[in-house]
Amino acid sequence: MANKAWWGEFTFSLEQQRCWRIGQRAIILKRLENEWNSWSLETDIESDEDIIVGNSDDLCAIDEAKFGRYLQQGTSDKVLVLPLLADLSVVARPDTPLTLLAGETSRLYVSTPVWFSAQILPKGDRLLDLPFWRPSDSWFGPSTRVGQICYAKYTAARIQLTNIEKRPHRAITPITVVNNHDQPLTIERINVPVTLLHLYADKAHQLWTTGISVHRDRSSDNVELHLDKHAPVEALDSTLISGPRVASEQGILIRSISSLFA
Amino acid sequence: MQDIIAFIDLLKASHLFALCQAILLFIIGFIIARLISSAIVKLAEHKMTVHGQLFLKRSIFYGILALVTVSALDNIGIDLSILLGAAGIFTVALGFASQTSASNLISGLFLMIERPFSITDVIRVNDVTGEVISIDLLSVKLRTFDNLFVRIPNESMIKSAVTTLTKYPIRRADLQIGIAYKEDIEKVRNILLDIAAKNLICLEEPAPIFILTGFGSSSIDIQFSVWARRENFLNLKNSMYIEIKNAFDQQGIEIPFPHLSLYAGSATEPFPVANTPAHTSPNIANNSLADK
Repeated sequence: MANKAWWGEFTFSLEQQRCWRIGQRAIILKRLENEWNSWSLETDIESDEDIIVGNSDDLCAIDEAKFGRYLQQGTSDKVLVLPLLADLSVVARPDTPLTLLAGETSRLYVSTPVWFSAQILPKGDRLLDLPFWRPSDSWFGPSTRVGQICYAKYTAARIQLTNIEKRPHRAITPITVVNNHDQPLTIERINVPVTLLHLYADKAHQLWTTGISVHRDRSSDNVELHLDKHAPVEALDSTLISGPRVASEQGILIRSISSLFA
Repeated sequence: MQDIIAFIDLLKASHLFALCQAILLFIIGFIIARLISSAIVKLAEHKMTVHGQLFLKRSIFYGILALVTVSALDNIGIDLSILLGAAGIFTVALGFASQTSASNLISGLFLMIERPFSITDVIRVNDVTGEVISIDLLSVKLRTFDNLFVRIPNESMIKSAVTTLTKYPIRRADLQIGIAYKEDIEKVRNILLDIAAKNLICLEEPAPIFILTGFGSSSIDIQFSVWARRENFLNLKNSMYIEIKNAFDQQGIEIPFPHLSLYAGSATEPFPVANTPAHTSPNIANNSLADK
């Protein structure tokens, strides 16, 4: 688990560069007089190591990295680096399909990848918004005509919190499923609407999102999706890190059951 | 002075004045119709699709123009009821003369109501694939991907099958692959599924489909169908073919090409085929030149 927060406000002097590195994956930012440069060095294999913030002098493969230039007349010296949740919903899959019996309640834990975002202060212009490891595209819906594009893979759903690996580039979402229907509910895949969720960090710098509760009623095929107002109870001494990508006024959303479970 | 007044009176009494008035009314009406339709579309710009805007603009414009025309004709003194009566006979004559245009016009109206596609959609009609740039009363205009302007009459759009490529957000790419008869099909299947799983733009759901289409003349034919977002369709096809070729090369799986064996009958052996060294060819060329 990360011992040190890799996010926050960073001050760059002229010609200074910083590197956020996790295994072989690295994101480098450099401040010049009238422009910002960025390098994104991608790898295929997801690493579980800590994210290290440091200088990039020791990085040899910088030539292979994706290079970006952002022009600004007289660069400011402060950059705000934040973790953000994915820009689309993420589909998680339990190892084996779960069946929630009629009248039962269960709490699931889903870990989803986070994005690295950098904004120039004080105006808040977005420099970078990159995933550490981009999840694979997927489709979630009852048919190929109706549904939504989302991300899949690299996600897992667990019933016990201890079974979920805590990683610095992942956020954990607790999902409470309440099945008040008289039929059991089979969960093969869950669509987690991460774009609506807040992101928190606990005292050990593990990332958490606001919890979700899904209520399935006896009468209708629709489910109520409740977005919690606070950090989950599992996240001890948590602080708010970033808001949702899509602002939602309502705390309760009505969704068709096929848009959340399959 | 009296002469001028007398002239104006004469002009007023004649048909010419009424005709001028009617023409003026029509021109002003035309300009007003254009202004009003543009203004209303501008107001509704952000709430409607490009297709809807065009439809609204045309409806308002032609509606106002029809009213103005009726009032201009009335001004000349043409009784509309007689005109409509005459129009009946006239229409029959005109109908025969402009059968194609009328058919296109009616087809155009149906196309606008049915809306199988709208402006900016990509469609395929009779081997022509392109982006719809306008849907008019007589024809649909397309811009093909090699940047040509194609006008397709509405009648043929109604009569033939039109494929809208941009209707749904996801598309399936059917990859046709051939492997040699000696290869293990189950191993090939696992390799293909593994490539699809690792490709980020290949959708995990709907899952890739592996179909053994049959035993071909020189290969086992396989169709491997994978899904992608509409905009990634070509990228997915390219990347999958490249990855499949690389993986097959690595795993030693042969992608065969048609083989042709020459055989002269049951009593003889097949013709022996041998490569001749490359350096002998100039001599042959020299000899043949010397012969000439």
